[in-house]
Amino acid sequence: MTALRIEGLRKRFKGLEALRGVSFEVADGEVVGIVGANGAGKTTLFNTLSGVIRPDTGSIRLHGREISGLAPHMICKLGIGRAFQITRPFLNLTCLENVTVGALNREPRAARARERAMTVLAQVGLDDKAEMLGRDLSVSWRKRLELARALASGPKVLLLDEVLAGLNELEINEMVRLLPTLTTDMTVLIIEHVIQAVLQLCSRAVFMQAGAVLVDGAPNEVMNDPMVIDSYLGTEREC
Amino acid sequence: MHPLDIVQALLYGVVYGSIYALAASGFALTLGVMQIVNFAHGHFIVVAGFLSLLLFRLWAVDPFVSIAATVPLAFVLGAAIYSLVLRHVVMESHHTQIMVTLGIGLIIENVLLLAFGGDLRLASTGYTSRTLRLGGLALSVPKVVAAVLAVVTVALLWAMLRYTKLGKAIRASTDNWQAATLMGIDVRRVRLYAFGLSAVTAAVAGSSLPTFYLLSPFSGIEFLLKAFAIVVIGGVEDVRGVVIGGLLLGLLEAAAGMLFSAAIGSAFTFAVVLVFLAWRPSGLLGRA
Amino acid sequence: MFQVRPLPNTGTAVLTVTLVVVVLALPMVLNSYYLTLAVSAALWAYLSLCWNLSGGYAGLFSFGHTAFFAAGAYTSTLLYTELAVSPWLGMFAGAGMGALLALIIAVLAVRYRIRGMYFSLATVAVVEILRPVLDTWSSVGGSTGILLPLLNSPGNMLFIKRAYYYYVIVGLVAVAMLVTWMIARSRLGYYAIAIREDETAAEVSGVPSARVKRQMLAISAALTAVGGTFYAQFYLFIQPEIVLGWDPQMQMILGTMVGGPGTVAGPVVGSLAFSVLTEVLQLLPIGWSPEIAAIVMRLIWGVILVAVMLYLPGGLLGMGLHARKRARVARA
Repeated sequence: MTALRIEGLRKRFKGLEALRGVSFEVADGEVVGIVGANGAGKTTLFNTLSGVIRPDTGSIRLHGREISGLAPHMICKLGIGRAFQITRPFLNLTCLENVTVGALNREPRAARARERAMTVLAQVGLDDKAEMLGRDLSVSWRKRLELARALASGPKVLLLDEVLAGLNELEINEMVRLLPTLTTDMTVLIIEHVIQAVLQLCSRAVFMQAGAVLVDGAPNEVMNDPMVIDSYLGTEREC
Repeated sequence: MHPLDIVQALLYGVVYGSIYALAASGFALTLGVMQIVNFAHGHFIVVAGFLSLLLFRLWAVDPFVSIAATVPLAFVLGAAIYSLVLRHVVMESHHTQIMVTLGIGLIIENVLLLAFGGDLRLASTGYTSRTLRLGGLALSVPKVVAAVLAVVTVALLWAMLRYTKLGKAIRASTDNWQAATLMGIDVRRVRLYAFGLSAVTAAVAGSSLPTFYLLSPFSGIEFLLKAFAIVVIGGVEDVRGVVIGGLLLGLLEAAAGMLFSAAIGSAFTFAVVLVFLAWRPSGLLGRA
Repeated sequence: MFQVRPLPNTGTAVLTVTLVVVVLALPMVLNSYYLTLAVSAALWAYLSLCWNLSGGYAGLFSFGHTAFFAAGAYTSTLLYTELAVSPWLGMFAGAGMGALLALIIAVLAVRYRIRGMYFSLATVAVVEILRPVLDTWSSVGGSTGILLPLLNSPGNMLFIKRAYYYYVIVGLVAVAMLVTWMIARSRLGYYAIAIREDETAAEVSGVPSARVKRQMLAISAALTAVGGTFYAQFYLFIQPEIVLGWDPQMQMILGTMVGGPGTVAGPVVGSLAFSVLTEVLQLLPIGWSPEIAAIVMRLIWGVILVAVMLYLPGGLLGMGLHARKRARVARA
């Protein structure tokens, strides 16, 4: 069952073509790592998938249904959840309230949504901070909050944008351990620079460069592809 | 309608437009450089006007001459208000800034009310009621002088921003203050000076006013709204945008005033502002 | 700018009941002058509560609520003076007009992405257009305004005894507080606050921002319009300069921002503080004329506004909820 089918996505910003015909498919339950250097178009891809940006051309099908051009909240309703690279918590709301907003996507009754939110908070380990304000959280806790809010919205496809960025080694290990438990019946796309995490978490990897998908396959194959190594480390003649 | 009426209206528009442009330039400066919406800007203009009025009443100092006094005073007061209050809201939401500056405006307005009372004031110098007559056209002398002064001041501001070190620092901070900091520019200092400069332009605009405008402590909001309209129409990043915005505003008002009434003219101006807000809020010369 | 609080505890309940009793008993102990003051104070509390729904909760910082206020005042008054429709019914028509105007504004603001300070400016523009239009439109009274008759006609919301006006406006305050409370704990309330905090993050979390903005602004406007009807019925005179003035708008905002935006009781606390302080200043044995006292009050209010915005951004009622981060202050 294909969860996501992306075909020929193009997006141009004034002079820069951020996406140049991105195409790939994601099957139900897959955990796909999206890797590539900064500026490769990974976040722009996520922005088009979650409806924050409208692609110029191309199609995005979620379980067979065309979603490109839909409003972000519609896309969320249809089952795509998003955690941003630079976290965007609701600063003046408590953690519980933050996650409740997400929970309301599936549960229109506020009281029930709060309960659901509390459950999710416990799952990510933030339940003791339920009454803390978003603005008072440190970076790593904000990442968890971001994740919790996205999870509470009941996604079928979860988009995680550099959820490990800014975390120390201990926190990274914790997150890597935690993520699979939270996303058992979801399809996940992870943008990540931490290669180790990609290898551990993902069943597949997609390498992007300059707005296009260049390599698509098993994680260790992708990471050992000469083109990929070249883009991260440079070839010898560049010294 | 006599063709001369149209020319008269055009002249009226250009004269007022120049003065409006000066009034708006300070507002644009703070908005551009530090993204602060200064709802007290109109009140700064009014304070300068009352100061110059005071100097006129006490020592018969011609309002245009009083600029020599009001300008340095304005710079100091502006810098003080910035250091004490506004510095703390640079990073805040626009709502917070609006509220804070509205508060400052309230304080200024009511201090003026206590000091001067609520009546409308005018400084009657020897030339206040004199008009220049050219062909069939009439130009009020003080308004022309004020307009010329406005043009000169805005030109000086533009030159200063373009050619001096401080000016370049200001422009760099407007574009990208983080990059400016990394380049070694003391952005805090720059903001302080920019705000002082903004107050200076308000002082020049305000000091000219008593010669032809019935000033009241309540005029602050009115001037602010004009400045805001100009910034929406002309854009914030470039001084030329303010000039274009000011001239357009002046001409629009003149045209509407000629065709209908002054009140409808004002309504028409705001309708234009709404159109710009929908179509191109960054202004004609702004970067979208 | 805060929170959806859980239900109050016993202490608060006792306090609330006492307060309610005092409020209801007030007309029996106040003389005519103070009763008028009480009505006025309650009206401003009501209007602040209405503004709070749009400005405090949804982040739609409108400077044009006087337009909704005028819509209510003019609609019900004209229906009464021209068609003898009771203002009790007319106020619903007024609310409808207010809501309609709000929907137009909200739809256009969403369509053209007019947000933040540009939205605020747009609302100013609406009022600045409306005022000269009403001023020159003689069929609706023009700049001379419309007078309402001074008679006792309870069926037409006209009372000789001020106490009745008092109970009406206090009832309206209670309704507004109830509506605010209900919205705050509902999905609409959460969604509105989310939009206020971060519209994009809200949208990807499933918040239909366009719809929420329309709803919040329309509700706020409809309630504000009812306030306009009450104003007309109590003061018996409406005029564009007064109902579309800058001062009433400032009072609505001030009461809310100082008392606590995004709270249920904040606007009431804030605007009551304003009313009480104004009166106290006039009573001080300094020999100030009422005009001077009013000016000094507004000056103090400016100082309070600046102080609250800098040091108590959540307003008086938001105080306990978080301490101001000094780090942010030092960053400038």
